[in-house]
Amino acid sequence: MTDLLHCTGIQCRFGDFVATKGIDPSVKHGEIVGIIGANGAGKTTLLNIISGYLKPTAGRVMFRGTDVTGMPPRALARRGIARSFQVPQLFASGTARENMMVALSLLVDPRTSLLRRFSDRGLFDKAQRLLEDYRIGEHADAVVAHIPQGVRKLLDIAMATCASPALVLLDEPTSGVSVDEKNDLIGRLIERFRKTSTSVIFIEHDMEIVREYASRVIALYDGRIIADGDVAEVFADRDVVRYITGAGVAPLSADGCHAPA
Amino acid sequence: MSTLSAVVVDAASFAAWLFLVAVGLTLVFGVLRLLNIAHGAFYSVGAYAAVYAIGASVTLGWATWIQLVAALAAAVAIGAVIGLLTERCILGRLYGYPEPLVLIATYALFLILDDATKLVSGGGSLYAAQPRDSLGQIGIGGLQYPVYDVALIGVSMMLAAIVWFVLNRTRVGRCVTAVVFDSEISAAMGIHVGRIKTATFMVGAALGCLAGALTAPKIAVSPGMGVEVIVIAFAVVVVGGLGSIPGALLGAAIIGLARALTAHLLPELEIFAVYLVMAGVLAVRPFGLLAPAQARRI
Amino acid sequence: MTRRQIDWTIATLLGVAIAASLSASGVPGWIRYLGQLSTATALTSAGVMILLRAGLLSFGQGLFYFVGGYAVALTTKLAAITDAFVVLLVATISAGLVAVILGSFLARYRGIFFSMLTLAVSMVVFGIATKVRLFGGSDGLNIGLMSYAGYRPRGADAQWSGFVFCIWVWAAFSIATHILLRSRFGWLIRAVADNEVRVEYLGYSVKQIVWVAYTLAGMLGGAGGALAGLSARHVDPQFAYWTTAGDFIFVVLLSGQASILSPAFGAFLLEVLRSYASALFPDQWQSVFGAMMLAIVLFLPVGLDRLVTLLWSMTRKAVSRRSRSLAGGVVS
Repeated sequence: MTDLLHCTGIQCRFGDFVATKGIDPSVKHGEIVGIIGANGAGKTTLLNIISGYLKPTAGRVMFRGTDVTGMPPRALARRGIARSFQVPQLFASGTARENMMVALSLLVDPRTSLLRRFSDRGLFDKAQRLLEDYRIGEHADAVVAHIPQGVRKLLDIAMATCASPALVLLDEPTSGVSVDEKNDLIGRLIERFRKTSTSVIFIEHDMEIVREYASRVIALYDGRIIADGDVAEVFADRDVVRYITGAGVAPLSADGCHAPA
Repeated sequence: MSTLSAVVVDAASFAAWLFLVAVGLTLVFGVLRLLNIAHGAFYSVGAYAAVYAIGASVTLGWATWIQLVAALAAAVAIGAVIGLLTERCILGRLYGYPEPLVLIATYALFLILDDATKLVSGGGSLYAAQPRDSLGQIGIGGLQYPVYDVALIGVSMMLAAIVWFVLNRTRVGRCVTAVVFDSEISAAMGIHVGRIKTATFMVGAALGCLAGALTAPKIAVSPGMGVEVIVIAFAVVVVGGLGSIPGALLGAAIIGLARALTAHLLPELEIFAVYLVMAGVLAVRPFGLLAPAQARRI
Repeated sequence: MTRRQIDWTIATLLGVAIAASLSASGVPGWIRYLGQLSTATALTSAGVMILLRAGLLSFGQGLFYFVGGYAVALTTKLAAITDAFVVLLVATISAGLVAVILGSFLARYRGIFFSMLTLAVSMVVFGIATKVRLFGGSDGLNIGLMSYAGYRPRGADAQWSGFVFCIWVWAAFSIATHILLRSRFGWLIRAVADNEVRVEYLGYSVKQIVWVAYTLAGMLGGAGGALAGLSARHVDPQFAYWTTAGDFIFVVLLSGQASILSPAFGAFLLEVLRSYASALFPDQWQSVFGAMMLAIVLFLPVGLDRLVTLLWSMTRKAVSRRSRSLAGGVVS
């Protein structure tokens, strides 16, 4: 069976700076892949390339066996690649429910439904149900600009994934979420995606979380993959210890750090 | 041969004028991140100031160079005062507002200033050609040009040099450059961003008035002349890259040349030359030739 | 299982149109004429409002006003068609076509670029129009009397029918726009202003949405220009001038953008203001407008309609709180 996602020789260059230097990450069906690496290692750039936000300067991205290199995010979203953001990308002037309703009507319903009335009972109920699934139903009527960061993170993920995608890309799903909520949040998310055997790539700075939930880990350093494999294997890797996790002590956590990765 | 020299002189002369009207606009955009539609009104205010200053100097029997100095001083002074009032009382209160609202505010300011010039002048056309006439003509490549027009090329280049020097070689200039680059970090580094913004807007307004004052001896000064200026100045700035001083210079040079070429070769296209160049450049580089790179958003 | 509800906006539009038609022969001519001009301004301003909801300030809606007005003048002049419905259709479609063409280039721009490029385009057209003989130069063109599907009113009847025609065209276009704005597409326009990245990741092209919005705004502008031409029975290049576009911006700034009723209300206010201001300050009414715009931007940037909705929701909340406390009392 072919990989769900298979990249070859991905390179991305911004002027003189090379963010990713010819890497070949891949993901199989149902895998939960954690990406680790310091800020500037090229993690978000990789997600930007896979989701179509950036066009790689070299290399190709194969998704379900077809070449999707350079396709824009809107095309990939329709093909089943969903993506959440480090800083939640929401419609700030709407309520949480309205955000969910927009996501549902755009991603799930066909284009021809675009002229249907927005305030429609069915759409309303469906959005409400999904919000409650993610246990943020109580914020449904709050304007997004005023809801807490953790809820925004969840809403962002809920919106991205409402059309049951085949591959979900999560960019630091737990950054900005308080330490005690963190485990619970990611646990629920991963459980959801496991149930539907959705493949996931998530960027995470908290090594405990990666250890706990990832089925495979990719370690990035300076635009290159320095380790890729089982969780135990990668965390035992000398380069990973040296450059990313530190000398086996408590894992470094960079929570709340929004510096561009 | 004479066509070539005529094209060169015309191109230089027009480019010089374009740079004059555009430099203040782009400077203000760079620092304050707002496109000041009222810049066109500053231009006509400056032109009116020059007309009255020159008129008074002529009545007093002053020499030509004093007439010019009086005109420029009046324009710069008025520009600085209007700039100070505008930034302090209106625009300074709108930082952080949605872009359309700020643009509307500068448009409203344009309407008010334009009507004010009408009220003062009575609405007709005014002339201030004395200094230009008394400076006489100069022959270049077999054609006669007013000395004043040729001198403007020098003035414009001098202005470019001064702006470059201030921005790159002085402490204040480096602070301004820092604010252009990132105003939040500049504030964190202890730069008085508010003061820099006020001062820049004053300089920008003064430059707008200066451009009007320098042009006044060449034209009929009449109400509404600022409209064309703001559109053309925007074209120049956008061809070079919004907010970039070298961009304004480049845009002025390209459009000046295009206009001179069409004037001599395809006169029916002359009035569109500016817009054709703009459309052409934007089709290839949507944000201008020297536009700074956009920061990553996600 | 959607319950049919009365849409109050549509009901209001129809109510106003019916009331205006019934009272048309009763009210003084100048009020009727103001109302008629307002319909033209209202439709064009509705286009400005649609774009503003997408976060885009167009300084070039005067262009479509111009295209609509001149489409009417030229069809009556060259093709000798005097049927108001036909010329309206021609005007709307021509403006739509112009918008589709310009939109292909403009739809990639946002913010200042969009505003200034729309301004530049309309000023170029203004410049051309003042010189073209076919367009009557800077004097413009006159428009003859219209017929309405065979009915050819003359004299006072012509004025009455013109008014009723404008009112119903305004109502019809407003209802269509309202249905569009309350649809999912209507929300999508808002979404573009809020977060383009998210819209792209939800599978839609922001550029296409802006393009469609721009085209719709253009068609509304064309219809508005046609009504203006029919009302004044004259068009001139001033239609494309930037201060004309500025008037539409003023309308939306004044009224806000809460509903399709907002620009209609703002347009009527503008026409009333214009007639008073130009009588009181014949040479200074531009600066009166400018001062008002500045005052609104500085002190009431959300527009008057927000005040209305705010008051409305406050009274509704007060009422529902009272009724809830009553109901609560019963239950306990």
